Amino acid sequence: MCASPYYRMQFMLCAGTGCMASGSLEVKDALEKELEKRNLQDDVQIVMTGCNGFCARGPLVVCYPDGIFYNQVKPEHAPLIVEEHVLKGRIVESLLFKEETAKDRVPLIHDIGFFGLQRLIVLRNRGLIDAESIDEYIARDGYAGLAKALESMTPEEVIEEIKKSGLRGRGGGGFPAGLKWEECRKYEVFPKYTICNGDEGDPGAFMDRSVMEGDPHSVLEGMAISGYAIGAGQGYIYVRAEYPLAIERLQKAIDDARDYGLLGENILGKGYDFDIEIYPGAGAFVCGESTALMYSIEGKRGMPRIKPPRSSEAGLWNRPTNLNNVETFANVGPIIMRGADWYASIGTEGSKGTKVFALTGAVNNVGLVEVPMGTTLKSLIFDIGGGIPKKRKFKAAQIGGPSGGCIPDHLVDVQIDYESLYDVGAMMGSGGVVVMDERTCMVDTARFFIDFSVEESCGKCIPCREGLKVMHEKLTDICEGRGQEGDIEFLQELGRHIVKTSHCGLGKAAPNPVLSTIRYFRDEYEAHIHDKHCPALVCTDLIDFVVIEEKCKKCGLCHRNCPSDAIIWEKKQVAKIDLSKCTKCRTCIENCKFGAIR
Amino acid sequence: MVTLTIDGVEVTVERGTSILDAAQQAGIRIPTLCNDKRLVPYGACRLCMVEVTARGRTRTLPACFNPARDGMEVATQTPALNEGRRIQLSLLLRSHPLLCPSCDACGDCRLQDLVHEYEVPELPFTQESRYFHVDNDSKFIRFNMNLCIKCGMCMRICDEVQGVNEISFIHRGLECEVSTDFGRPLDCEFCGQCAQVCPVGAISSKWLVGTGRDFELKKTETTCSFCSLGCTLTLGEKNKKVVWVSSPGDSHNDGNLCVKGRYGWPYVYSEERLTKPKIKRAGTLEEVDWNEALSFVGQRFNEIKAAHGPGSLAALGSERLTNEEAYVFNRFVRTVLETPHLDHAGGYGYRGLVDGLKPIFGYPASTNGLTEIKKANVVLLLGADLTESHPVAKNEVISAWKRMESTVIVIDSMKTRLTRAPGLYLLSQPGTEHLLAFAMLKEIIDQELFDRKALDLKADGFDELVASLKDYSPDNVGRITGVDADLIREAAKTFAEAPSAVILVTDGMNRMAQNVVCAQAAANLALVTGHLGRPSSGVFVLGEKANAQGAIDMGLAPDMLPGFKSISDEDARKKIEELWESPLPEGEGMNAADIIKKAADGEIRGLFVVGENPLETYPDRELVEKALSKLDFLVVQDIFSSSTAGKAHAVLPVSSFAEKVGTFTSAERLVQRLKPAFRIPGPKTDLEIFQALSVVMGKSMTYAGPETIMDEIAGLIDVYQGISYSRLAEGPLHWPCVDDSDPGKSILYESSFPTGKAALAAAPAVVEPATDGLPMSLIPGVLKFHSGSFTEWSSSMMDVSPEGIAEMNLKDMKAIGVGDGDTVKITGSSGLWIRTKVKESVRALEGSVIVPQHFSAIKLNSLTSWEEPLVRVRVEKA
Repeated sequence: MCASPYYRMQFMLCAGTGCMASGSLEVKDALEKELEKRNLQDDVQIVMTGCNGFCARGPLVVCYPDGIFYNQVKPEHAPLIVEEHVLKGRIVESLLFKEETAKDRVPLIHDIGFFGLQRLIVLRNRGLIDAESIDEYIARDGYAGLAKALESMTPEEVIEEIKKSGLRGRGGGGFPAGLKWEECRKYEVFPKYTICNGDEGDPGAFMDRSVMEGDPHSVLEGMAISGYAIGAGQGYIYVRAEYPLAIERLQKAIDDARDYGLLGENILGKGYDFDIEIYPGAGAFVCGESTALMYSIEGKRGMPRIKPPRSSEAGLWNRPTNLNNVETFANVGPIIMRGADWYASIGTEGSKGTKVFALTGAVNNVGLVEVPMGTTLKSLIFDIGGGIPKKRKFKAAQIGGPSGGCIPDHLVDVQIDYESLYDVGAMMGSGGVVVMDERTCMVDTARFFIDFSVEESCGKCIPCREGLKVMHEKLTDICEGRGQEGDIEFLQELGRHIVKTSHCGLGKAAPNPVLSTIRYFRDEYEAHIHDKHCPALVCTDLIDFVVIEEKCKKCGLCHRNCPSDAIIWEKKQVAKIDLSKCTKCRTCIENCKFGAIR
Repeated sequence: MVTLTIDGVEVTVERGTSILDAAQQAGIRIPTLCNDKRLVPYGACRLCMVEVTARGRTRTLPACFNPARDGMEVATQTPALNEGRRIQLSLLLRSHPLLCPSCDACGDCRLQDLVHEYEVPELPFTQESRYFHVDNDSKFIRFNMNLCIKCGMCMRICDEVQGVNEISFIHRGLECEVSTDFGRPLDCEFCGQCAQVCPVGAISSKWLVGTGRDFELKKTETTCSFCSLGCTLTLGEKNKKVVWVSSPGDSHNDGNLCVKGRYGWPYVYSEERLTKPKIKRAGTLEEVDWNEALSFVGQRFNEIKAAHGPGSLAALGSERLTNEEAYVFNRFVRTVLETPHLDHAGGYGYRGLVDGLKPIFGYPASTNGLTEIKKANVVLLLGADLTESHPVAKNEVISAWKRMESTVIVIDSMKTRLTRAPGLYLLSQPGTEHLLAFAMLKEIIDQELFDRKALDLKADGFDELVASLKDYSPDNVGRITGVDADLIREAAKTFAEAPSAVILVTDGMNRMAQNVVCAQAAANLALVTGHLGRPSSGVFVLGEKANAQGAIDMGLAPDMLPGFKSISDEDARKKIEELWESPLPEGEGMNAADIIKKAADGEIRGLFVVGENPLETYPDRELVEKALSKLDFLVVQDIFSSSTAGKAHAVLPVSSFAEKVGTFTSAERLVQRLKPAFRIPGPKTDLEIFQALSVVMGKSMTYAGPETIMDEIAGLIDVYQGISYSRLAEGPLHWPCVDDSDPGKSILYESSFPTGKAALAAAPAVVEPATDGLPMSLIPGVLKFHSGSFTEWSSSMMDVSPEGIAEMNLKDMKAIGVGDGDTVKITGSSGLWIRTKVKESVRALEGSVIVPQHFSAIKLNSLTSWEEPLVRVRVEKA
């Protein structure tokens, strides 16, 4: 590890984007100052690591060698930590993690459910190495996969190994990576290219970002191996410009790898030349589509092109091109190093290995998790995610971003793998999981995702450009009380039309949020249309703003919080809403603990 | 080949053919809104979705880009598919305002047609109320993005076919619209292809707005009269005025037109058109009626002939005459005027090119069909700035570059638009182009990059060629031209090793000697490397004007008779004398240069100028002016009162190309019909005038009409034997076409040469270009907006390119202290000078100034001369 023999203790400070935003750099400064004050700077090393994953609880400090996990650390805690933890050898109890529902605090990182149930391959170095240090990456067996491939394997053997491992593309489609490489190798047209798709655009998803920021060399290693396998001499990493830290760290990683002879000419003296260039995207969601991405690199407008020909035959600049996403490449090094059998032993029959998810929404442990394929959704949300805050009821999980589907409560036992998710109308996507509780309106949620797709549609094909807008209009009608008999069937028919006739994967998948919510929450649509009522009390036009007398506990919370003095209440009296003053801001609904307003 | 079934019809197509094209071959139409055969399939409209069953699985796929595969079963018209199409169309209509009654595209709108065909009964979706600004700021083109259906055809044709990339989509999704960068007005080739390809009315030609809709137009298919490519034109006429110009998609030019072809026509209605004959009385030209004018002309010619002999008369024809007119003019000059002095100015441009080819190959013409260029792996442009001179041929090169990733080799004295393509650029001073081409040839021979055995079977003269190339090593030529010798070597290797390669040469203004050697170099290169007699190979020589080839074929030259026969060929003379019922004048006549010189000397006293404006377009303006002033009698036959006509004693107004019957022979030997779209009262056709004059002069030539003239031509000229108007009604024919069943040959020399074997031409001695002690080279520039000098009468072309501006390299401009828009004085070796505005241009190499040749105001020909094709000048701030 990164341990230097002179240090007796390491503080691993998370320097992921989330923790930095909540102040980890200030914590670092405070700790450093404190250590210096007590002349301990040579005893304790502070390491800024990539994203630890447990973003909800940042800033995070993990203290080694014992693995004590401190969360929500603030600069003012620095004296306490140094005094207690470093000098006196006592754990700082108040900074330990506590599950919402549990009584006791958990001192060791491994004992925390969030970490304990994960299996790290892609995120193997998370929280353990300095993201900007190639030495630390190498110390953790980095580039051993590349070395093994170049030293002892032919390109065909590399492809065979990847095929055998069962690795499937983590970008959403799940196409077997080995087959893609094999197809690309087949064409004797040069130069060839291998591209890493780092244009992560799904709302709420940050898996690839964390890998690029936290362990950039794992991406470079995977790309170099794929380049060797398919016969490419040049790689590109397409990163969205909204990830400046990723670009900076990848660039440093590329420069360092070149210095070490791990990129550039004659890599490891094996006569293989491969180099990588970063291409920052300009912020179009559609550029995550592989062919649009290649157009973008070529300097053209990012729009999906026709297939066939496939990119493996004629991709970037009409040359055979292999494209995988960040997570796929991060899997490659370990597969080559430890062998396909090892990798294939993890996961399910059809989906091997692990998958990284960005867990967000109504869940306690918001963050980045990596679990073996086949883990159930339930385990993901409740064991790792720590369940729903405030004891609310789990309603649905949206998996796969704006193109994915909503999985309802009764299917929470579904295994997370490509086939199972497809069967329930969702998709793996790139790995965003948005957890929704009972306060979420599914019609509104569907509208949100369709809105995103309307905004991000490139405009090329009619069904996606015009059809999604029509769906959006219809959903808005329903949410605002203009729903009519037949609207559900209309949405289904149009949705299926868009799925069937859209040009690219984005359009084909865009109606999924609507289709899957209709499938599982049809009653909610019907309530909106027929009863003009939003059961989740989200769509303001469909809320009566009337107090349900039987449920009202006469506490007055609604009255006290109403910003427009629209609630009449006196002690021991049922509250009453004066609709002439009510602005439908929903403050009362959010404050009422008894669900007494409809 | 693959065989598939489409709607129950079995069809066998080439591998790689799309399902859509396969269906078309089977006679089945699949609806589309974003497909054009010129463009890479795009897949945006999703109307071409078909049900494909293969290996037991049925899928719904777009037909436009999915390839046909063996054993596929395709259904194109199931109820589900048609319902899908109805939804697609309904979705389009929600953001396409239904202003059809006021739309110029009404009746010529693919969306309208499909909405009708698929019986979209009502509008199921709420109309989108978005408003885009209607952009009228550009010349010729109007953008109304409210109507745009985002098929992308405009921007694709601009990129893939024109290679211009002026417009593209901006914004995203529903906000998406077609625009230039930051919405500035167009600054492009103004070819109007975007407007032509627009399936709806989103992009339209400005002047056509409000002037007529498709169903109101009477359409006439004819041939463009500008350059020698002979694009097929459809003229749409309403109220006896042409208001719409397009080209049919199945034409040999693939429906492509350039700016002149599409927008250059307003000259036919110019107010300044001559409508009445004029004769000079008491020093001024007065309008008279035709009888008076014709008898005056006939009488004066007869008088001069009687007084000074027929040798005192001379005639200058034009490359704009139809074949029939050129042929009859030839007969008129040689048997009515009875003078051997007949030439045309093309004799100093295009003539040089064909003179270079004929002794080597046998025919004085291009060897292959122009549409083959797009499949060539290497395109060598030898002094061919196609973007400006032959824009539609440039499209072929763009296609080769973009679709085939072909290499473009440019040998030129300036940068052209095509030097933006990835390729090899051998750029040097004017007059050295042939040196570079011969240096490539030497390298190919020295490195044995060719098949000696195959060459020996085909051609003689190899040893002489090798001996003549002694001084043409890349190093030596590189030293003279300043071009990197390794670049010459690379070009040679690339050209020789290409699976297929074409060479294009255009005629430089008045560069006869230069044209001959360039054509020889090109022909030698093609012969030696074997890039000949096969598809997508050979040498293309492209003349400036519409019937450059026809003028050669019809023998409009002092040393030639129709059918490339020498004037001293006794058999040919005899045959023609019988046909024309008259003896031919003895011996070879004077060429254009000598005619002008002898006129200035007073030896030529009567001159008949047909369709030319020597004062503006012939070299040595001073001499021409002197010659014309000195003549006893000058007759000018033209559609406008040109500056030459101003000096005439009689001016005869003629009909334009759009008003007459005839044929043109294009640069690829394609014989095509001209058909009249209308006729303005007053002028006569050239043909009518020649015949009427012959009657007046007492030696009447009687022809029932152009059709019978073509029959006579077919009887006389071997390669035209199988050509007749009845066959041309079916479509154009390539010569040689030797009998009624011969489909014509677009590729020459597939198996043999007319003379048995080809004859390689020896290279001329290497001469370093002289500088005359003057620092700069003057390059007469060609502009795509102009043709000769007569586009000055085309209001549209003058609108987009109103004045001639010289182009110079920034470094040269700084050296003489001028900036954009300043005026410079350009002085030639004789001390004569011209003044013109100047602008910075990346096209001009250091040490050269490009001056457009089309503008009478500049008087460029003050600096040029008959003898010295290359002009050295001094440029100063004026």
